[in-house]
Amino acid sequence: MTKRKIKIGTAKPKSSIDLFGRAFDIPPGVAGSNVKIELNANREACVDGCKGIIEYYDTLIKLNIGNGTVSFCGRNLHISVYNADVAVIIGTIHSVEYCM
Amino acid sequence: MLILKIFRYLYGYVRFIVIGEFPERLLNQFSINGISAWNIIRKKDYIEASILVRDYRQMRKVRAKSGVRTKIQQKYGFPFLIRNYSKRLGFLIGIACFFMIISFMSSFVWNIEICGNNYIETDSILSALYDLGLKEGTKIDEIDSAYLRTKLALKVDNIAWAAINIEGSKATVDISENKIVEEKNSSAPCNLVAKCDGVILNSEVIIGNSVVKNNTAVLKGQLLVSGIVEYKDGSSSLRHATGKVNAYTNHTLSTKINFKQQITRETDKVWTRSVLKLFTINVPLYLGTVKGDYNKEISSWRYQNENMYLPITFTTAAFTQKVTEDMVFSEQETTLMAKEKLIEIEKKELGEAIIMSKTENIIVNEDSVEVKADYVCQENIAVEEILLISTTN
Repeated sequence: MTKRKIKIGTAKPKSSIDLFGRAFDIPPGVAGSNVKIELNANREACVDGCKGIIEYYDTLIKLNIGNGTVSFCGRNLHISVYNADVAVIIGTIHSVEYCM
Repeated sequence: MLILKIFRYLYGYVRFIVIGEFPERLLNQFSINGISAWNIIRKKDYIEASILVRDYRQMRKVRAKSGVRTKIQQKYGFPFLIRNYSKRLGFLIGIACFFMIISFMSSFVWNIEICGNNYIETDSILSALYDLGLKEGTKIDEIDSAYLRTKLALKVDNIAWAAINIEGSKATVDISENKIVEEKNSSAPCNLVAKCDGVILNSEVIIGNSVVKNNTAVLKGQLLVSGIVEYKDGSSSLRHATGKVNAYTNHTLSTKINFKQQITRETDKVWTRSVLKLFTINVPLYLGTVKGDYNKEISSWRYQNENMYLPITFTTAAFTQKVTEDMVFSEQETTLMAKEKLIEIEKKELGEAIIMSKTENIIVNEDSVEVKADYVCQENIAVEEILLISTTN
């Protein structure tokens, strides 16, 4: 039985900015145009870099984040603020799912 | 986010619903066009959201691209409030006048408060400030605090320094007074001399050399107790002579009262005049003037509490007419008046002296009564006389 070697942190960077950041140990998202999602317990989620709303129900909010989507499932969900690229979702969040 | 709420209220915002198959499309158009929306709530068939009024006008253009319909539910904010009252011109003018008056009146000094003065009278400081140009009604922009505080310290005696602070419409003047150091003359060398002629009864000398004996007569200004103390070894020192020298003294007091006198008395006629003072402007609330002799009593009222007062003073002056009449008194009345006057003079002249005997002599002249009294008193006749020491040869 052959042992599979698991390499951690060796995935190829997608952009030159990520390459640069990895070279200097800069945390991902500090440089470049990555989406930042800030969760405040399971009551509030602030999505910075939101490109649009795909689905909007009180149990599911699905947002376009450029290179994929992020879905917030829960109950009594609604968007308290939505402007150029920021969406603040409040309610009871049960799960966050990425689809890239 | 109270500031955000105030901002939204000032600009005005609308609560509207988005009806259609994909209302999310309209929200995405908001994002593309830089329109900010909040409180977006999904209902069964529609989405509710709020946006600013100016964004709602822009939203109409992008609505067509998303294929949805919108409907305003409610309008909020200051612009709608103004629109409601736009037909009431008087109301709008009143609001405008209110703010203009508030703004205008805030540019003047309403109250002047003096702090920190213990022995300098507040009125004298206020008077000096008035002369320097700081008074109720002075424009705040025209007050040069640095100049005023320097001039105030120069103008009013015993002010060490002054600070003038303007807080809103109130000018607070902080004063620091000079400390008064009492001159210590009690230790200066002095003699005790006689303040009047008399016969010495006894002496109680605490410091100094007594130079008079009991039962001897002394003249006014004569040395009673010397402040130059000589010691047995021949040396001497200058001391502050202290003690009492009691003596029998004689005094004569007299007074003269005429039968015919001019008496001034108040009549029942009283005129009342009121003045309304607004800042420094006096507005008379009467017509005509009061002529003749009168006694004037002034009373004033203004609203004030612990922190401030209104610079509106209502002053009322009561002018009571007085007349001068020539009156002729009887001999008995005039004598009584003369005696009363003599008692007043006695209290003033003899003071603490113990009156041993008093002999009154009443002389009635053609037009007056004269009362003369001879007193024999027992009193302390010693008074201090500072020793002047010349240090030059």
